[in-house]
Amino acid sequence: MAVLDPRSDTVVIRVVYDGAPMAGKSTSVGALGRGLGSEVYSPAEVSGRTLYFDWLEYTGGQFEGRRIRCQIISVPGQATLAPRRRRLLESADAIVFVGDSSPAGFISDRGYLSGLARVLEQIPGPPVGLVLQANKRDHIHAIPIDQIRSMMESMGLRAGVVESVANSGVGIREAFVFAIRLALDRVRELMRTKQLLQARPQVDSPQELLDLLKKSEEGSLEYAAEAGLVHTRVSDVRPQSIVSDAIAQATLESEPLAKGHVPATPDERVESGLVWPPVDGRTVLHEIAKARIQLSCSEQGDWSGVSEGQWQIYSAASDVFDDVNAGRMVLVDAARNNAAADRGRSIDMCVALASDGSGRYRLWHITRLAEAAISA
Amino acid sequence: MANEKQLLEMFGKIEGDVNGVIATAVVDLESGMTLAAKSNRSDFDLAVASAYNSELVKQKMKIMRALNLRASLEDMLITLSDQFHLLKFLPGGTSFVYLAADRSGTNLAILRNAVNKHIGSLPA
Repeated sequence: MAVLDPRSDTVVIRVVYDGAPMAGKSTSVGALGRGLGSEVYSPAEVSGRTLYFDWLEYTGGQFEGRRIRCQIISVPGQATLAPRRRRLLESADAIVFVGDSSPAGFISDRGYLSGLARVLEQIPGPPVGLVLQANKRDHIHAIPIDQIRSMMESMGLRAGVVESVANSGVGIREAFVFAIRLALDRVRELMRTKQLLQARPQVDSPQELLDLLKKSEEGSLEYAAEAGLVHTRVSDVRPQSIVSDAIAQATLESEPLAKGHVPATPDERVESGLVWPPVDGRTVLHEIAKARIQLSCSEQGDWSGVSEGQWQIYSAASDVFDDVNAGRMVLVDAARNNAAADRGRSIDMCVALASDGSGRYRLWHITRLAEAAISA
Repeated sequence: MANEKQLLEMFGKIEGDVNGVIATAVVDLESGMTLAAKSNRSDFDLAVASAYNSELVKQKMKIMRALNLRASLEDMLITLSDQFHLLKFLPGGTSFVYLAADRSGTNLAILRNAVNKHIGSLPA
């Protein structure tokens, strides 16, 4: 979890790169390191596959007047190292899921995303932002991005999607910067709820992380990791094996839920540039994302709802767009009107353009209930 | 949005039109992180400059909100004794181009014209 390090007056955040084996996690972190001019440290690997983690560190950017120190870690993808992977994911402030856009990789991604969704649900504190880095976009049969988005939405996962070709560094930095934005949103929320600690990071170096993992595992994964480790592709899995059962279970659990025509409401993963005010508005999205919202539809087709007595959310029937750019223009107009009326002064309201779960975008106005009563 | 390779190509084109470019970057406004960066001088810490410039832009936006200005921020031109710095917003409003150039080799009009011209050729 993020901390304010008083020794250097920096915000320390952790971005974790997750994904199935051979999806391109280590390649992505390596490309990122080259782009940032930093070296990657990998404690151990077998045949090019990460056993513990890849570690990259970078200090840059600004947050509330402080430099940002990023610990960038990629997890091992092998199924036998799942506990280690989980432990690393649980420490993330933002996660970049590196997805394999090849047809076989797409199948693997689904199972790993399902597992990731379960981990995300159990991480305490503000939600951890997720970026889907759709890698290997140069594959001749790369799965269309719309299909990848649909898969995410059917699993109830909201993430910004960035296309990449890690081998040539394309899309790597965009995914990383987006993850930083999400991590900073989380930090902002930690600050607001007074959960952001002023302390030395629990792990301050790759050696400390390695020692921590070894100590917590007490050697239980060493044999599995180092003795004859073989990457198993989904297509090679034999029926009625433990792995095939696990994959089948994960697939079953991620079947799309019947949501009818109720639009999806915005949450903290609304893409950058689609929420106003751009900083405080994202905090509002964080709040409503945690709350259950009961939506109802008027005869005119307007949607409105209240989240656990705190937030009012509203979207007019006409505020739905096939094209995100058209919606963004309307969002900008709404933002200007609100700014002119001096209504962007606090974290009590926001306007957001969010995917409605059916491939379209809907504009939402979100207001704290007391604020809504005043302006009514 | 343009990818890093396209942004670096844009920097090259700008350098072709402007003498004395010290450094160019596309900076994410919210985090201050660079989406693409190219520095021609080892003593010019572009990452640090980009981060602090993002704070500068945010402060300007706060001022505009406080003054109830309905206009949008297009660019900021800063003149130092020996350098020009230009901050130009990209479409979408979440990132900006930051360009630093040696003042002796160019002028503000050329800087602005070159940046505007090549930003226009970026994919949406």
